[in-house]
Order: sequence, then C-alpha cells, then structure tokens
Amino acid sequence: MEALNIPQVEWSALLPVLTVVGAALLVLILELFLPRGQHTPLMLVGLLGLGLAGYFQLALWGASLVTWAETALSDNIAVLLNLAILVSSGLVLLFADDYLRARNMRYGEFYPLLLFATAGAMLMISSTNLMVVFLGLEVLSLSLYVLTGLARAEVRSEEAALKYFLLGAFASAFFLYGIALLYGAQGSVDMRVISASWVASMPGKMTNALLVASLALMLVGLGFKAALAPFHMWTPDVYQGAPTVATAYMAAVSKVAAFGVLLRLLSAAMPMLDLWSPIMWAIALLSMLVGNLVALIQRDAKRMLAYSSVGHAGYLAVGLVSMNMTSLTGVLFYLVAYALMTVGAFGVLSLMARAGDATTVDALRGLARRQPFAAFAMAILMLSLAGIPPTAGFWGKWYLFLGALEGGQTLLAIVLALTSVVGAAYYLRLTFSLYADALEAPAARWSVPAPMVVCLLICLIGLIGLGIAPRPLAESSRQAVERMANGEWQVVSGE
Amino acid sequence: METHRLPTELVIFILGLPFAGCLFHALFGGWLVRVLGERAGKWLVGAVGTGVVFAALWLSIVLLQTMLNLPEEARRANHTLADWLAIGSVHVPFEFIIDPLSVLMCLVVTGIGGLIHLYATGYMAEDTDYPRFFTYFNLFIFFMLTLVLAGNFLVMFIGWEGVGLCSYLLIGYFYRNADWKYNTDSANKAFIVNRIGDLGFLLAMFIILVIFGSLSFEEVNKRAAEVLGVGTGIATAVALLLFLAATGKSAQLPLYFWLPDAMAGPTPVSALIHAATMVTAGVYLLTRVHPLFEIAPAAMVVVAVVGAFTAIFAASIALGQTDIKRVLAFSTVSQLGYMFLACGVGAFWVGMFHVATHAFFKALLFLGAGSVLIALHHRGDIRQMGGLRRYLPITAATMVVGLLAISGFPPFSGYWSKEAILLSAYGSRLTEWIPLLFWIGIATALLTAFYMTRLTWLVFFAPSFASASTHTGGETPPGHAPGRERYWVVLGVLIVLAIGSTLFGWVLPSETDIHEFLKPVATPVHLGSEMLGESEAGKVLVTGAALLAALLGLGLGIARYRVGMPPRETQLQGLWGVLHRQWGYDGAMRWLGVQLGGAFAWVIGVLIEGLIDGLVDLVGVLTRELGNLVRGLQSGYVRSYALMMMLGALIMLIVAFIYGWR
Repeated sequence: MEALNIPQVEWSALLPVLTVVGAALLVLILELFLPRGQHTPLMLVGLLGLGLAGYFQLALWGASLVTWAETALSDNIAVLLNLAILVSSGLVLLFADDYLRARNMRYGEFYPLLLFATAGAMLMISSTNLMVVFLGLEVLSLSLYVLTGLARAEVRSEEAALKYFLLGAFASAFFLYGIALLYGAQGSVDMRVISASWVASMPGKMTNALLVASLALMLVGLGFKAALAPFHMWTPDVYQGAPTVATAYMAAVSKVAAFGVLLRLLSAAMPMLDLWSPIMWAIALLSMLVGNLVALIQRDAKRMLAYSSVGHAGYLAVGLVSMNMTSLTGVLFYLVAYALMTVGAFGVLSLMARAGDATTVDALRGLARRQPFAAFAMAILMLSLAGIPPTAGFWGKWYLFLGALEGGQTLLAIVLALTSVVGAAYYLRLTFSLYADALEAPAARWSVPAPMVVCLLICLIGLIGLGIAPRPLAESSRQAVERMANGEWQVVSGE
Repeated sequence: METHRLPTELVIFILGLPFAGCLFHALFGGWLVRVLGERAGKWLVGAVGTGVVFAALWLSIVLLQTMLNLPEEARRANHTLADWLAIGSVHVPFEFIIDPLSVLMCLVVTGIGGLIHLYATGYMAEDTDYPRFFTYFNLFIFFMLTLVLAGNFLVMFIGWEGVGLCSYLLIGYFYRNADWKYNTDSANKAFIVNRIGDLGFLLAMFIILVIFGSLSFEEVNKRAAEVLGVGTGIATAVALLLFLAATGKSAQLPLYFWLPDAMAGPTPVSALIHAATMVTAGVYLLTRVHPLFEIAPAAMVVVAVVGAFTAIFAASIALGQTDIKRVLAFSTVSQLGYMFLACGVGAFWVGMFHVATHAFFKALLFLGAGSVLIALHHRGDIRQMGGLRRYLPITAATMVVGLLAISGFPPFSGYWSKEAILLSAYGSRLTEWIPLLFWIGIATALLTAFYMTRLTWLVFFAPSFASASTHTGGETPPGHAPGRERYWVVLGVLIVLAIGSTLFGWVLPSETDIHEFLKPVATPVHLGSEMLGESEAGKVLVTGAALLAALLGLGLGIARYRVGMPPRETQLQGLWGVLHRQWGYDGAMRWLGVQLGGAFAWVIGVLIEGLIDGLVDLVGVLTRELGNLVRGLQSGYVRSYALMMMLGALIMLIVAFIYGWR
C-alpha cells in the first residue's frame, strides 16, 4: 500500500515567514477583544513576532536550502533582505501608533495588514518559484492597497488607494502573463530553470520567443513594484496620498522585495544578458534622470522623496545591469541602507504630519528651532540619501559606482554620479531649510514621542555605523552574492 | 617589571580618557553647573577635565617605563584597532604606533597639557561658558594624541584636522564679547591658512597611497629609498608637500601669519595649542617620516633655509610687538624655525628635543603672561605695564626663569637644546649655505635674548606706567590698579613649569638620555655621519658664540629699556613701525588673499557665472519643459498612467525581441 508521497520539508526555511503570519493572525484575533483605540498590545505582539522572525531568520545565515518541493528556499540573500524588511516593518510599527492616534485613524486592522504585507514581501524573496513569488507579491500588494486607503476620511488617500489598486492589478497582470508564457516555454515556473531552457531553445522556434516575451513582461511587473521609470507614475500620487506611516512602509519594503526578486531573476537569466541588458540599461538611465530631475522641482517633501525613490531605484538598476560581484554587493548594501534611510525620512515627515504641519519643503523651514532632534535626524538622513560620507548612503553608491565601472557601464556610472549631484542639490536644500529661519511665525514647539526617538536613533546609529564601518555588511553581502553565483543548493525534498 | 612586549592596549585608554572627558563636559557639563550650582559644578567639570589628562599622563608614564625595560629593538609596536578601509587592493587599518617618538610626544602633550588644564581651572574660573571650554580642551588632547600615536597618514590626518578644528573653536572661543569680530576673524584666518597646508598633506598622502599602495608609516619609511629613489623629482615633491603641511600647522614662512592672530583665544589655549603642542606637529611629522626627507636632499635644504629664515624673521618682528601675547607668539614662530633648522640639517632628534624643552618654557612664559593678564583685567599692551614685580612676585620670578631658558643661558633647559641645534647646524655638510644658516641661528639667539629681555623688563622691572603717565600728564584709567596673584593653581603650575624649565635637559632627563632614547626612531638612515655635524670640533666656538650672543642680547635689552620704552618706539615710528607691521608681510598676504583673491574670485565669478548660470538656466528651462512634459503625462488619470505602462511594456517587448530573439 503506497501512501500519498508527502515531500520531505525543512520547516526552518519558512519559519520566519510563518512566524510573521502567525503574529498577524494573533493580532487579528486580539484586536477583537481590545477596547476600541487601544492598540499598544497589538504593536507589542507585532514587534514580538517580528523579533522572533528576525531571530529565526538570523539562524538561517549560511544555509542554502531549497525545500517544500523546491518552492521555498533560504540563502544569505534572503537572510539579508528579509532582515532589512523585518527591521523596516518593526520601525514603522514602532512609530505608527502615535501617528494613527494623532490623525484619528484608530483602525486596528493596520497592524495585521502591515504584518501580512511583511510576510508577503519575505515570501517574495524566499523562493525562486515564480508562482510563490507572485503569491507573495499579491499578499504584499493587497495589504498595501488597503493601507494606502486607511485615511478613510481623506479623499486624497482614497484616490491614491484606488489608483494604486488599479495600476497594481494591471502590473500584476503583466507579471502573471509573463509567468504563464514562461510555463509555456519550459514547463516549469522555477526561475532557476530559465538559463537551461534558454540554452536548449532552438533559435527561431516558439520556445525562444516565449522566453523573450515572458522575461520582458515579468520585468514590467517588477519594474512597477520597484518604481522604475517608465512604470513609476503611480509613485508620487500614492506616496503623497497614503498616510505617511504607510508611505514609509511601502517605500522601504516593496523596494527591497521587488529588487530582491529582480536580483534573483536577472542573475538566473544570465545567459539572456543580451536581451535584458539593454532594457535594464534604458530603464536605469530613465529612472535616474526622471526621478532626480523631477524631484528637483517638487515643493512637497513627500512627493520629492517619491520621485527621488525613483532615482534610487535607477541607481539600484545600474547595479543590476552591471551584474558583477561588486555591483551586486552594492545592490544588497544599498537596499539595506535605503530601507533605513527611507523609513527614517518618512518617519520624520509623519511627525510633521502628526503635528498638523504641512509636509511641504517650506513648512520644514526652521524645524531645528521647533524640534532640534527631529531636524538633526532629518539632516543626517538627507545626507545619507544624498550619499555624503560618513553615512551608509555613500558606501552604497560607492559600490554601485565601482561596480558599474568594473562592468564596463561607463555611461551609467557617469549618469549615476551626475544625477547624484542633482540629488544632493534637493536633499541639501531641504537640509539647509531645516536650519534656516521659518518663513512665518513658527508653530508651537512639539516633542518627539519616545518610540519615534528610539526609531530615529536606530536609523542614525545604523546609517552612521555603516558609514564608518561598512565592511561587515559589505562582506556579508559579497558572500551572499558569491554563494548565489556558485549555485550550491542543498535540496531537501525526499522522494 | 619583566615584560617582553609593550602593553599597546593602553593606547585605547590614553585616547579614550580625554575623549570621555570631552563627552562628559558636552553632555553633562552645562547641566551640572545648573544643578550643583556654579561653584561645585565648575569644580567638578574642572576636576574631570584635568583628571582625565593626568590619568592619560600616568598611562603614558607606564608605557615609558615598560619601554625603558625593553631592549631597543622591542621598543616599537603597532596596535591595530580595526581594518578600517578596504578599497580594492588597498587596506588602511586604524592603527597606532607606539615607539619612543610617540611616547615622548604623549608625555609632552599629556604632561604639559595636564598642567595647563589645571591652570585653566583658575584662569577660566570666571568664564560663564566653563564646560564648553573644557569640552574643546579635552577634545584637543584627544585629537593631539591621535595625531602623535597615529600609525599611518590617514589616522594622523584625523588628528591633524581635529586639532585644527579645536584650534579654530578655541581661537574664536570669545565669540560673544566686545572683540567678537576680531576673535572670529582670527579663528577663520587660522582655519583658512591651515587649509593651504592641509592641501599639501592630502596631496602627499594621495601620492604615497598610489605609489606605495600603503599609508603605514612603518612601510613607507622602510621602502622609501627603494620605491621613490634618492634625489628623484617625485621624492622631492612628496617631501616638499609634507613640508608645506608642516609650515601650515607649525606657522613657518610662508604660512606663519595666522599664529599671531590666534592669540585672540584664551591664554591657556595659546599656551597649550599655539605654543607647546599643536604647532609642533609639523616638526613631529618631519621626524616621523624622516626617511622621506633624507632621500630628498633638495627638500632638506628648503626645510633648513625656511627654518632659519623664519627664526630670524619672526624674532625681528617680535621686537616691534606691543602686545604681551603677540611677542610670545612671534617668539614661538621663531623657536619653531629653530626646530625646522635642526630637522633640515638632519638632526631630527634635536628638533624633537627642542620641541620638549620649548614646551616647558613657552608654556611657562604664556602662563606667566596669563597671570599678568588676570592682574591687569586682560589688557595686554606692554607699553602700559611696568613695575609689576611688586604686585606679582612669583609670576615675575618664574618669568625670569622662562626668559633665561628661552635665551639659552646654562643650565636652563633652552640652553641644551639650542646648543644642540646650533652645533648640528655648524657641523652639517648638506649644503654650502650652512655657514650662513649657522650665523643666522646665532643672530636669532641674540635677538631672542633681546626681545625677551625687553618684554620681561618692561612688564616687571621698568618704572611703572602709572608713574610714567602722571609724569606725562595722562590719566590713569579707572580700574587700572593691578590685582594680586589670586589663584593658587595658577602659581602652582607656574612653579612646576619653572622647575621643569630649569632641570629638563641636564638633570631629569639629560640631553644624552634623550638622544639615546630617540636614537632608534630619529637617527637618519640614508644620510651618512659625514653629512651630519656629529663631531665635537666646533663645540667651543658654537658654545662661545651662542653664549656671547645671548649675553649681548640681555645686556642690550636692559640697557635700552632700563627706564621704560623710548617714545619713538612707543609710538611705533620708523623701523619699529615696520617691525610692528611684520615687515608688511601680513598686509601683503591680506592684500594677496583678500583683495587680489577677491578680485580674482570676482573675475572668475563674472566669467563662470555667465557660463554656469547659463547652464543652470538651461537645465532649469529643460527641467521645466521636462516637468511640463511629465506633468502632461502625470495627469492624475489612471487611464493615462496605464497607457504609459502599456507603451513602456510594448517598447520593452520590441527591444527584447530586437536584441534577444534568435
């Protein structure tokens, strides 16, 4: 009697994701029993879940597991990026409570949604099976649509949510169509098979065309999520319209997740370099130019950061196009640094929004008088975003720049440097205005809530720490990339 | 104590203590003064500030003792904190070097530094911003120790810039009193002029990094001759760039002119930073990398000539100064010139010897001047002083010790080191200009004795200004009556320094002790002894000439100023005016830097602004057009966004098929 053949599974590979899901479910149930507006326990449970997940994730360092019938994996890239996602989520969770209360958005669903989104993002990075990646993408996206529309009373938030949803669905369709074509070409949705299929495919045959089309379509879907031009159009509207805590979250987490998948997909499709290299080259160039140039003329800080995030996506794309050890190290390093910078910067903006101030650049003038610590933190974050040493942003850009030169992408390296100068212009303008005198009589001094102080301190210490001693993270990133390149997998799936 | 290894971990504590002190004052100082009350709070801040420096001194002494128990070849060790930068194949560790040279400097910095901190607790007692002062002061000690303990150029550069920063902060310390404009301008001047020197440091560092692939002193020194070659252009260039850095920090021609104005800072700052320690960093740098200079004989000549010329140039200017601290400032420039003269003739250890003795007697002189300033409510014009020995007997006595030391009378410390400098200059065979340089040295010794006698005599011994002014019918300004010596710490420190200035160099420790101690690190490796003046032949002549010059200076000084300053000199007429205006150098530099530089900047501005503005306008126009274009696309309508995505996807598909499809 032959029983059902149940594949042998290695639970540890998915344990971090499962922990987050568990925490999300717990929070969901717990919310029912709490009096309305009492969300501190939810935050604590969420933080606990994220911390536990982080611990499990850290324990996986060094492993190269493929399990769950080859639908789940864990390698150092997953560990690094998942940790970045977990930390970003934790930071947002930490300071969201205060913001939501102040803006009268006491909706308990914020917490489980944020945790589900986190689980989705982590799942995206923890698999090479594109169906699982798609699953993660949808979990992340659907949660984000709702989070964007959380400010139910504000038309702008509702509009942003609807736009995000419609366009996101459109992009998902591209991605899914790409997967379908891939399945048609190779009979598998595993991206590790792509290179073999490509090599085996006959020129001029259908398989070949299917592969070409599928890769292009998948890039559209991922480009949307990563806010790469020309698929970035939703970014400013959504970033501006969404509640600032949600913006902080999506800016950091969806970028990390999307680039994690792009990194895996493009390095898996190495033999198709001729195909995706010109596409990514153009996308990188366009993103850097559009993002930074348009950010220069923005008056709203949230919108400015939104466009600049397109620029940053462009820098990261330069790393992908160059496709060598240094540049991929740079991509991982930059993603970690970028997550910290973005969460911190939007965190400070959420403080402004919370205190009833507008988030225009003019409204930020003289912040140093009203709130010295927040202004100082913002200044450091801006310097890091501009890539000025000794901050983490500098080293991220440095590795990307060096990688581009090594990879022979001289033009992209030059554009990267030049657009960084443009970036420095608007970041520094904002920094100066923090310390300039306010245009009007300054609003009342306000205090920074304790969780925010903790969160900003973590960001600052992290960024300056990485700026002074970039080696540990750079080495870890390099190891992660090298291991992926060597492709040594320990496959756990008993037959 | 039997150890076979230097306890290099001590470096962490030697550096960490002053830094912790700095953080303490910065974070809690103001709060403590508020909470504990003015008196107790200031006492605590002063005690911590001074305590950490003395603790660092104690650790340096422990290091010294261990070192003395070790054989000569084991007296050198590196301590690496971390692998700091790794860019490509270049590794720059965060490393420190512990050898006789750095330990000697540590002792000077923490020893003299500790005493001056102690002095400052009295001198600054009435300052309202007390914790800020000690924050900067401890930070200075931290950076200065980083500078002297650094194991490579980059770590040294951190200290180099750090002491520059502290110097800037402390020159402009009184940025709120009546002279704030002069004070802050002086701070800016110091910072900007030093930038020129720092450029030399940076360029030299980059060249070395490219050529050697390493910034470590040990490796660069070891491989200097083989990598750069003896007497080659590149070797000369590196040496001259480093010397440019030294002229900035150590106030030599052509960059000396920031130091006199640096006296705008509080007197302990002038004593510690602008006399005893920071300004000797240039001499230290030369000694630290002396093989780089030895392989560039042309640069050595430049060093010697600049040193000798600066020595006599500054000594002559000191004659025409009327402010007590400015006289001492020019004397510092002049004495630093002596040190560079020693380095330039290959006697690096002698340069360091003079650094140490000079630290004692110049700190003493400045602190004595500070004591005078306390008594005179911070009016420092020596033309209005006189007869102060009756009010300030201890200050007068210690100042006389300082006078004798700096003028080079035996057995005071200055005698031994100045003697050694002149002797090595006399015997050197590096260039045919040596006799000239030697006689310049002798002449400077005469001038030194003369202007120091002038200063000391006019302040303490000449008929008092009060009687002179009634004589000429002038009025005594209110509050002019000199105060008494009030602060015991001030007097205590003066006495300790006077003892040091008396005994250092022949008793504790003697000249030969220092020579032996520094031999492994400061002995020239590429210059043969035939090039150096190690013979005893000229000793009688040199000693005789130097002593005669000093006596002559002393005698002339007393003769001229016996009854006070002659009126022509008081009104700065003729030669005195020229000297007072630094031979016009400062004015010329001001004209060159501010007027001409400004004009140049204006021309460049007009030329470039058109270009840059045009470009920026163009970018602006382009951006605006692009913005309009994008705004057209960024309509806010989902349908147009979706259309854009669709178009993008289509183009991508087309591109993919063009490039990818086989």
